[in-house]
Amino acid sequence: MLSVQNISKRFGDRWAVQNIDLSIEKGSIVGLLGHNGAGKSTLIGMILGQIWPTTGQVLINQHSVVKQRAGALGKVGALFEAPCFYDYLSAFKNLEILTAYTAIVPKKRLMEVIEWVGLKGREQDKVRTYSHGMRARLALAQALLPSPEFIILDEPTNGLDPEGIREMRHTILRLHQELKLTILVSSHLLQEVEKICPQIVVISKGKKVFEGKTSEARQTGKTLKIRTNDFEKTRTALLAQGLITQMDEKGMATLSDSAKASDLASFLVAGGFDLHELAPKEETLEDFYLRLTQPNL
Amino acid sequence: MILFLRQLQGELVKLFGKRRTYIGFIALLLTQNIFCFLFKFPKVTRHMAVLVQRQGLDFHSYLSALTVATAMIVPLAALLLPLFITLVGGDMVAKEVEDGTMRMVFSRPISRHRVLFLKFLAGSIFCVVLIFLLAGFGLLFGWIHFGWGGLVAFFPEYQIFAIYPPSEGLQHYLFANAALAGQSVTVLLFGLFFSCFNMKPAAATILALSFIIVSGILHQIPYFKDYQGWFLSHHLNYWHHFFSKTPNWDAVWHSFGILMLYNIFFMVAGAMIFHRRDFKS
Repeated sequence: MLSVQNISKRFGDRWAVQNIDLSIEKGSIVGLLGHNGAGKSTLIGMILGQIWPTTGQVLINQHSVVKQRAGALGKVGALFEAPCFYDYLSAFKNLEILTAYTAIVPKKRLMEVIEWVGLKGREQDKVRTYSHGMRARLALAQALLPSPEFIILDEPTNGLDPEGIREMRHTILRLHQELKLTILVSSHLLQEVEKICPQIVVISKGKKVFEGKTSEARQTGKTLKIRTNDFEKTRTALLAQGLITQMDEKGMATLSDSAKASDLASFLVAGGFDLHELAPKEETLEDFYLRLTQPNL
Repeated sequence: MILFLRQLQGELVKLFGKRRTYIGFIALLLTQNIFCFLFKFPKVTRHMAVLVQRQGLDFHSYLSALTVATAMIVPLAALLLPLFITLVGGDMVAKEVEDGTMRMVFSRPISRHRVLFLKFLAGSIFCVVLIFLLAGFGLLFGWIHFGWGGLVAFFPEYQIFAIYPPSEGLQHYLFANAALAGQSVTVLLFGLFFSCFNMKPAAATILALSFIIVSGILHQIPYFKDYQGWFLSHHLNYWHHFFSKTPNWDAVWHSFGILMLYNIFFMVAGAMIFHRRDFKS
């Protein structure tokens, strides 16, 4: 569905995005993670042809976004973190105007989508009278028109209250399940991405630092909880043996690169320690993300 | 074609849906009424009256809707229309970028050139409608205050003094307004051109307006008399010729050609700048 090939973007002397490759299969939900300023919005801008890449290219359904814009973006919908509309016009008029940049959409289809996002009865009101949540729904409605196969959501939960965030999450999952859409969600909210996306791409300082399954990201940690009859002796012995690289006061130890949890258990038992607990600590996505983006922490 | 027309309709809805559009229009209508009021003072019409009476005609039968509406074109064309039209032109791209709606537009499969062309067309339609509405309202207000009658066209700086019966005068009036509508498209394109740069809408408007005003001032200075043809404002005044009994067609076509060249330059340069830009949040 989407293929980003070695894409880079430079603004003046600063590289906002550097050599990113990304591929999204039809029907998948992919989370694009990164802190503010990491380059997510620039990458999305290049995917949508709003920002010209310095190098590389973006293909959507085998069409180049730069050279074959109509073919590439014909079946793409997008929603931005701060949805902007012609506030002095009604929601319905806004949808008519924006969708006309893609195709002529019958009124019936417009009303269907308005109903789907829960704005029925308010469609003739001017957008300036809308709450933030209603604007988010309207933004979703415009992204769903005329009938996209691939939808890009840039920070869709920004500015929403907890209820709004939950509703948006539910909606994204509905989009995937009911409409079978391919979805790219950009966010800096790890918990949200974790709940929605089976796959993630992590960007830090304009570079891709991880691409894979969310479940993989959670399991790549090498932290163990160790509890024995003698904390100090255990720590000294494991460090001396090179099985761990560090162990804190709470017994949380980091395995060295070559060591496995079973090696550590064998060593402790053979050394005569009373081993009360040896449990892998499941790394949260947050731990994983911080480890990737701020390795010195 | 239907899709294109629907997109153009959208641009027109955006343009005519803004309250600001009507505030400016109402200000122009008020100016027209002030002008009608001023024409009630004999001091204002003194020179014109003398010239008409020298022709052996009764000035009062020529102090009419047509005469007043024609006289009020001068301040409108010189200052208020450029102000209003550069405001609209300067807003067309820059305001959408500032408001973030341009990013919404460019999440869709439409090309930048097409968006710009649609904006140009919508703006041009706006200019034509505006000029002819003002021409109509000018006649209406003139008729309310002075009644119907012949036309006295008096533009001393262009050495134009002509007296027409009502029907012929109306033709001259309409042709001159058609020329003014064409010229206003150049003013719009000037605003639109600056609007394509990465700048605030107010900056685009001020730049375009400043250029037109400075050009207008310079071309009035006697020192530059020999170089008048180089000034945009000189060519923005060719509508005057349509009030002459024997229009200087060479001058009309020359100015028309120069304005067309300006139009092409503003359009092509604006499109190139617009095409190269990045649209970020």
